[in-house]
Amino acid sequence: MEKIVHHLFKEDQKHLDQINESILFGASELARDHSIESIQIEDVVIRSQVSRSTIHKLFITVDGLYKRLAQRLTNEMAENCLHNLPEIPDIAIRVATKTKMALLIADKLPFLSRLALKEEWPSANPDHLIYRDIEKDIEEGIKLGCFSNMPSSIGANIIIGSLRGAFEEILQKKQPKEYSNQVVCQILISLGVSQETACQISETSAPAIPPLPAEGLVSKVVSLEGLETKADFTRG
Amino acid sequence: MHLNHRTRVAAQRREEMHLHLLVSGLLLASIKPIHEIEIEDVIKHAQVSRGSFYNYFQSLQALYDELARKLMQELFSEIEILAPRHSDTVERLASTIRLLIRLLVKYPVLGSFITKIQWPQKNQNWELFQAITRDISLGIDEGKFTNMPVSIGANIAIGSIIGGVHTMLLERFAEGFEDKIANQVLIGLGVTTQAACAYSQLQLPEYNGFPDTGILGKLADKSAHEAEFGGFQWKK
Repeated sequence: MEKIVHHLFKEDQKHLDQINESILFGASELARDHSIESIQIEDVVIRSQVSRSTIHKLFITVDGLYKRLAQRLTNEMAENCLHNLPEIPDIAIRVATKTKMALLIADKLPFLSRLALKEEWPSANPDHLIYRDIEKDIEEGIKLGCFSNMPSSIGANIIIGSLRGAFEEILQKKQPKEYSNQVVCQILISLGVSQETACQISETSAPAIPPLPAEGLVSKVVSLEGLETKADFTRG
Repeated sequence: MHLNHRTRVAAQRREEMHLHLLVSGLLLASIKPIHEIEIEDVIKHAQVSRGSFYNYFQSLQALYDELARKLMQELFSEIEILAPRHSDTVERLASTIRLLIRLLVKYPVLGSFITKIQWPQKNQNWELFQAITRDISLGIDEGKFTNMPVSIGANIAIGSIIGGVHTMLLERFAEGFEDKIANQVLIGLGVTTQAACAYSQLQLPEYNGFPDTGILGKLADKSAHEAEFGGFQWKK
């Protein structure tokens, strides 16, 4: 076995970033082959070829490592999706489209979604791009009178709670075709949209699957999905 | 006779130590994220040896799994006394949501823990969440809620509770925030706006304090002696 290097003595930030990336990707590889709950710090040490103290210094625990990985993945994915999303002026349709897109990703990229579900929620961390974006949409909907007059966090929690629960359902077993429409419809009703409008929007909104980012951690993790090519994903 | 006594005392001591470790895990989770807690922290907090810890739990994950399961069971028992099963389904669900949030916010040690556990999870058979899911299922069967997959309704309700408690602990919202959460959940389940408003403002019974046994009993005992366990007053 190669000598395990204690990387904490190296001051170079770029080098530390590389170590960080390597550990995160190594953790992704481990999660492909084992359940995340069964992974021990020794497994990460061996896979990433870094010392135990480096992992401890950067992430404290294995659970902390997977939380960080999840945050990186969701932020990269969210940035990519939002960048590729066309402008949708109607706030209810926008919320429906984004929600449906997330459910589509859970269906098409189960491994990435399994990792993303480890993201810390609820969280006071302002770096969570998705949470910020959802809350912004809710505030706009309330201001325009499209959603009930409620504290925006209540609406945001309805969306995030529903999405997380739906992710788990989709990852556990294949859901019927109308499942994502039903999830989106109930979310809109919860936000105060009339039943008729909610059903109509949830059935008609059909987001296009965004092209996957060519670089970054998402790209590497998707390569572990078992898709023969990335085109398998974009073909839907 | 003598042997029976010794066996009984040994079993009591074992149960006592088991609870002691669970409560240590709970108190630690109220001051830092669970993914930053290590076995050493629990050992130090509980003032036990590493060997003693492993006599009771195979890992930290096992301790937190057991803590979540047991706490959900005890909270379910407390809520059931206050929101009896013979009452109207919609009223019971609304009362459960409001009472639970009040309880978790009044005792931040409990609230903080509930917002830090991983939800959802595969095979997460927590009694309290199962009871909420049962009520939603019953409400659908009775035609009081929209006909939808039960899990969609359950995700709206449970997500709103977890997220709502987090928001309340973080931002110290005034009394009545939990009523707004229940109101929005009921609307999401298909209850009319007017009825949802009425259900979420019904008079609730007063909570008379923790029982003498279990984790809650241990906390009640600690609260009399330690400053670290304290509920905050509602904002007036």
